Amino acid sequence: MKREIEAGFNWFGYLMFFYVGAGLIIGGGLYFIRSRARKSDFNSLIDSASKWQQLSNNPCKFQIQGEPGDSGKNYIKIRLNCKNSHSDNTLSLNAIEPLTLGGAIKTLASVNMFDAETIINGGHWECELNNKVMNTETVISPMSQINCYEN
Amino acid sequence: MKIKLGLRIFLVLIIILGSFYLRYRDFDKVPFAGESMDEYSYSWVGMSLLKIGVPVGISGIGGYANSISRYENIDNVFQSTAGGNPETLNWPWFDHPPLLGLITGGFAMLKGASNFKETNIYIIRKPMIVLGTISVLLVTLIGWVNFGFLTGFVSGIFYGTMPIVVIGSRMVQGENGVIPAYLAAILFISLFYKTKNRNWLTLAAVLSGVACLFKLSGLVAVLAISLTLAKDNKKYLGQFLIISLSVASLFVVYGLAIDPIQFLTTFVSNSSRFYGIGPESVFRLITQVKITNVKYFTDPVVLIGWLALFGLFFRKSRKLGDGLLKTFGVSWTVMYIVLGSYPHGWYAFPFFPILALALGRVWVLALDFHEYFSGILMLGIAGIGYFLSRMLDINYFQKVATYWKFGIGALLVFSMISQKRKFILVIVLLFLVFLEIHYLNSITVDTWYKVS
Repeated sequence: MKREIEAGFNWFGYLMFFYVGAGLIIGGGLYFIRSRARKSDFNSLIDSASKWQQLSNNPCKFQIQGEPGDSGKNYIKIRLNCKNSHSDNTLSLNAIEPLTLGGAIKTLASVNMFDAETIINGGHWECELNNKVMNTETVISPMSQINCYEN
Repeated sequence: MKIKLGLRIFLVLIIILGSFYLRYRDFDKVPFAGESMDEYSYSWVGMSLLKIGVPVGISGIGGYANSISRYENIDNVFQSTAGGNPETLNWPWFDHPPLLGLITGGFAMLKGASNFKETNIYIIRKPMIVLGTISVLLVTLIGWVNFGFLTGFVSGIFYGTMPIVVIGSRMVQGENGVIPAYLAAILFISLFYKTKNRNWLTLAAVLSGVACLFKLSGLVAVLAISLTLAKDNKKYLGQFLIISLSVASLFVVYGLAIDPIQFLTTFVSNSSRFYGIGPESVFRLITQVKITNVKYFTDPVVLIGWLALFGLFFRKSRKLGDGLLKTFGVSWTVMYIVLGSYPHGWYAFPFFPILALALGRVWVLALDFHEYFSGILMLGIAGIGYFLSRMLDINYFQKVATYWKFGIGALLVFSMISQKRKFILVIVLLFLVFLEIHYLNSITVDTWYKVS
């Protein structure tokens, strides 16, 4: 051991020290973080709204530009018909949970930054699929065309 | 002409402050938020790692066991640039090492961000401005240490003002983390060769490993410095490789600690990506410059930088600095060809410091050696002419066309016969830099779409 140190550097010792130390730091760090994380933290990360973004009270203020081409036929179209304007949107069903009108409105609201409750529980909106009135529990199928009207 | 140390430091400070200003101006507006969703993805990886101990990000690679689709509409990207497809989030995400994400995602959390929709572009690009400015300082110092202050100064000016670099360096891309790390490795290995102090070698090795923790293409530093040491300092090669590769392998330790099976699956998938750059990759690298995967950004300084680098290749030199430029140039080309997949613009970013150094090198050589004068003058005229064509409509240019054609013609003839070149080279350099800055100032939110 002394001869190795005198000769130059103990590379085996360096590598042992390095990898044991790195393993402890990385493993210990991950363990510390995971032990404090709750199951809801994952959903909170990906689904929470931004606290710096004010929700609009006009559901027609924005619309999604572009089509979800990667989803193939697994999409729905939603047109919001406000009193003075409208908003045309195509949503991928892959990103909607649950696959109901309520789920679609909530997803659209998170993208277009308006309060979903305005449409769902506001009492002034009615949504139709193929001229049939829908409720929030109505299951939606691919390539549906949904029209929502503000009364 | 001997420049006093105080003046040199002052000039370097001017370059740094000017470069920082150019990068900071409109940093959150150009390029548009969402032109590359990778910027957010890197930050999400860091944020999720720090919050829940699992990296979550967007991947284009198959083989992930966990995926979910979400419309993460930050900065109104779904009302502008992102297109209509929701993001597919995968976890644990192992496309790239996590260091860049830890920096930008961690910075976002320090600024109060607590979920993915709060990693706004005006937050996550700020660390990139700092890294980009540090890169300018490193280019200046590398030129100074290897070739003298004047070369460092000129190289720093070029790298600080190249439009593609100023705008590209704002983006949260792995390459923008690799660049300062590998530049630091070049600086430290240069200092090692000058002083023979092994501490510099150790630092070069550590930074080479750190470059790999931003993106695996950071292996370029390990490759290029190994090739340099193998030529004339073989006894230090072992020390360098053991330290650099052990630091680089922290990515493997990290991956195995989180999910060894997913890590290995992703590694295998990553190495069999669609090779979209094709066999013409090197040709396009020199002749076309992209800033994203679809947007072109013609910067004439890149092309004249390539010509300057090739000029150095054809020049006999035993200087370490010339050797390092050539070795890193070739090593990056190797990385570009071997690790490339789709023709994303940011894959070319790591070449630009080398090109700036090459340009600075030949520019200062032209001050000392008359045989370089005409060639450098032509490079300068090429750059000036391009920027003028962006500024002036061709019909308006007719008012000055006579002065341009006879003036430039006379200047080129003059360059072949006169020894009075220093004044002309300084004027051409200043004019070129002035036009670069003017061109940069013209690029705003309203004119970005016109850039091609």
